[in-house]
Amino acid sequence: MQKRVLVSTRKGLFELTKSGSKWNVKGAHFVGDNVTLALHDARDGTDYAALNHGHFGIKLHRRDKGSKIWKEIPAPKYPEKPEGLEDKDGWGKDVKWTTQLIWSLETGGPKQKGTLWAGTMPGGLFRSDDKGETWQIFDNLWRMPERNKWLGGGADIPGIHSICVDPRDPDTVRVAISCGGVWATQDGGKSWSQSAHGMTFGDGPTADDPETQDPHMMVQCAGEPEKFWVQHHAGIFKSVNNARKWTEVKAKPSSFGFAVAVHPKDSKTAWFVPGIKDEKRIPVGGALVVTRTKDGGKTFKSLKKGLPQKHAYDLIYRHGLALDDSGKKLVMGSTTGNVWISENSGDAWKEVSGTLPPVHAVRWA
Amino acid sequence: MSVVPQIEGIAGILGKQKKTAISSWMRLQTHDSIFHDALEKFVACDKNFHMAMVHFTSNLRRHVDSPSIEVLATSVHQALVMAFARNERLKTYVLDDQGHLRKHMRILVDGVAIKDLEHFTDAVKPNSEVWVMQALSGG
Repeated sequence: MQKRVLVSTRKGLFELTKSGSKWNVKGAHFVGDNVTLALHDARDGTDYAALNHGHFGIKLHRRDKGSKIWKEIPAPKYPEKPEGLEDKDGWGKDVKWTTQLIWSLETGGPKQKGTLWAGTMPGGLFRSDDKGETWQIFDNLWRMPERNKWLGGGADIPGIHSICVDPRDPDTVRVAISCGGVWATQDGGKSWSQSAHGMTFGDGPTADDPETQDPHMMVQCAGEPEKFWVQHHAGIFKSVNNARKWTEVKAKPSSFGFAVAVHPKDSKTAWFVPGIKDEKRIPVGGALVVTRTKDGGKTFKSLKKGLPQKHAYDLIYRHGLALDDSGKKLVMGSTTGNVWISENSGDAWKEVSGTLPPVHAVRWA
Repeated sequence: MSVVPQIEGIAGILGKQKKTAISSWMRLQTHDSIFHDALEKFVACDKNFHMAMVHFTSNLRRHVDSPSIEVLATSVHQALVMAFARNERLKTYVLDDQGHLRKHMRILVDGVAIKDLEHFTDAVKPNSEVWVMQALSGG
């Protein structure tokens, strides 16, 4: 059972633990530094933390099970850019072949101890088989011509923010890109194909082009792994056939947002955090709610008990909502530095802290 | 970064006898740090020889061991090779994946910002002070 939460913030990594009936901020690491993402590897008890030092670049740290010491390990590194290569993104801007953000970090299959996947800006996907000591880029994905259609959404440059390693087969992996759709491999990364068909922006000349779709976050149901949810820039989408085809789902008070979580056993149950699209990105009416569907998107319930309902301007980033393995406990962290936990599937929330730095990501550990 | 261009540059500012000595070290060289050790011994024997200094700011020292270091170099490129020879981690804090200076970093030689941020061809003289520092400090 997961008993900790790792909260990655603009000014450090914080650990939440429960004492009696109350969750508290217990540990603080890298205080003052920009921790953009963390990962707990349940296979061997290792924690990982990705940092963005701004001036000094992207760094990765590892804390082995039982240790109190974080050790810096190599961050994913791009290959040497061929001399004279013209490499432009979908906006026509030069692509810089250097890691600018570790935007997703996931473990490999249950039997692949030490295997990690990392998605980065400007769009490189990497794999490590030795707990991050060395990384290999998926060169075929990086060098395919379609990658030149990828473009930045809210950020200036494209990036891979979601990695779903299939629980049925760890060689089947799907990654979601803002903005580059969904790419899937069934042979451990030897070949890739576009898998965002059915997603749409609704209007515009390339509204239905899968290559430029902007899935903000993609999740796969562990117990029904053929079922997926995506919180997209233009709405909510779901797939019931291994991400081959996506259909849109409408929610109130809004279908816009970044985060999504799916129940580990029941794919029809999923959570979202709605906001006003897309240039405002604040809760509708200044009232923060989580929306939950239990019927595969036919209906949604707004969950607000314990969440601020007046003058709340919290934005929940795509990694700012996380569900534990039981499917009952949710944690949510906002750009305003608020963190809430619900232990009853979102029906009621309790504030854990209102004073943390802006939250990039939360994760159960 | 290879140590070879650095050695060639050094050879250009040394006499024939010293060139021969360096050539023999090159044959023995299997690693940058071995070369570095040999070079230090060599410079210690030649009291008239002056080395440039490479300094890093305290902000960087908070993250990675980065003491000031004496280098034998005629260019910023050579100075950086020597400064990073014993500390690969330090290199990743200053240079990006392509070996270029990170976006918000700057290098000053004797108080003047260098111009070549990709190949570091700016000149370094004996006794030069090379500073590797952040370009922005916020406000």
